[in-house]
Amino acid sequence: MSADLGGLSPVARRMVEMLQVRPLFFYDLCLELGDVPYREILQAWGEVRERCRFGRDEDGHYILQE
Amino acid sequence: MKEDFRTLLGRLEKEGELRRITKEVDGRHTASLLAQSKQALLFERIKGFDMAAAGAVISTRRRLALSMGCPEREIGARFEEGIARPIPPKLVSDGACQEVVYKGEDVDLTMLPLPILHEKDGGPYISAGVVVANDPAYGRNMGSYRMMYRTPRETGIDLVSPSDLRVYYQKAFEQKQPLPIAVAIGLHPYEMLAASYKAPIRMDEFAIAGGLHGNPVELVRCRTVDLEVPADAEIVLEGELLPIGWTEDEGRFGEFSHIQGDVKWNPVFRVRCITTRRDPIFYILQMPWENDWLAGPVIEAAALRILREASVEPVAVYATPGSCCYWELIASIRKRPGEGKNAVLALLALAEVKLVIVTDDDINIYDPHELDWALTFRVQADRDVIIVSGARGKLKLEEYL
Repeated sequence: MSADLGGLSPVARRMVEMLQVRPLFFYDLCLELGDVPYREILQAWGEVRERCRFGRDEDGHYILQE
Repeated sequence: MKEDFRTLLGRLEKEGELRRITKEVDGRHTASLLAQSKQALLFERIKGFDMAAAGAVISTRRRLALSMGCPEREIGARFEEGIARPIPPKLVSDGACQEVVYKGEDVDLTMLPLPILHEKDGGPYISAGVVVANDPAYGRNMGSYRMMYRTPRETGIDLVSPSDLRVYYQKAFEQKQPLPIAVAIGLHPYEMLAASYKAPIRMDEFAIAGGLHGNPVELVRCRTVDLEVPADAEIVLEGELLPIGWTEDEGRFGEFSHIQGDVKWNPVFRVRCITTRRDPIFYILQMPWENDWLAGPVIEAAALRILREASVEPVAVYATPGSCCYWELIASIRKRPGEGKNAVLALLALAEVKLVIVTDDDINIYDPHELDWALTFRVQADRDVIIVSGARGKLKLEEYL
């Protein structure tokens, strides 16, 4: 997966980078982004949702798709 | 005038059943704090959000009974009484739920302190949304649906299970038309109960809520869709279900059965307008307990009704929280010879009920020790246990493995 991260906020960019490493639940992202205010996480998640196509693995983790 | 959500919160606080949290909390921790509390909680300050949030309002039988204004053992009878005399809603010109209006670029769902209810959920959820929709043939419908946050203007909505809204959406989808809906958040448990109740499709659930309140529900017209919502709601989302069918990922979600559901494919709700009170309180319906207790009075009312139909005299009925207030019923009856088994068979005829215990009227069925005593000393298993095989609609273990 080589998503174009241009124009994404820094938090959204971090989310994409984390999802490029391994499938994650939304909760996992919140744990990893413990230093980021929750509302910013919600906004960044919206950005990622609009930009990227998600799949899910068999447990329901998010996977970035081409 | 009927009681609204915030007035109920005040009443619960006076009864010692609600605790006000004045210290600032992180929005991602609200659900876990609710899970650790024996009381309902009102979070006055949530970091980064301009609104308060309350949850676990009816997580226990005691708090549900308090909200219904009746003793705990009478919640079924109280519900039965309310639905027997529906009161039509009343249209009013303005309501507190529209004190502040956000449209266009100002629409932003991240203004809501959306909770993370479970670790494996697909995202934060609006768990206390009551959806209002209209259909030319069937009329207005109100129902409870979970909504998964996707973007500042979109949520998912679970329309996989059979429901009136699913019927409305299916029709709109076949005509390639969006279905306008409004989502009211922060309503009294009576509206939530009416929304959860599987009423006949042409019945107005607002009239059921009115019957439960003993007063008409006041409705206001929405600002951007041709629908009406309760004037005393805390927050209202207006918009449409997009005519894209069941195409977008939604879930996982910790279901009312206390089991983590799978990812589903569902439609998307596009939000066009948000209206709120000046100082709104976001309602976090605590899953699964509050959802379970919304089923309790409905199942208990059905149990009372079906026992009377079977000419059995019920003394008390109990939809147990261990069965999600849904799949197990305990009843005590004033019995004549043979009626114990008649009662068991009658209760097993209810759609989802799969386990039934019937006792004599001297047993307090809400006391687990008394119940154990009755099961120990009054049951001879080879004579008194009935097993019915192959009945339709009963929960099967394989569905959850």
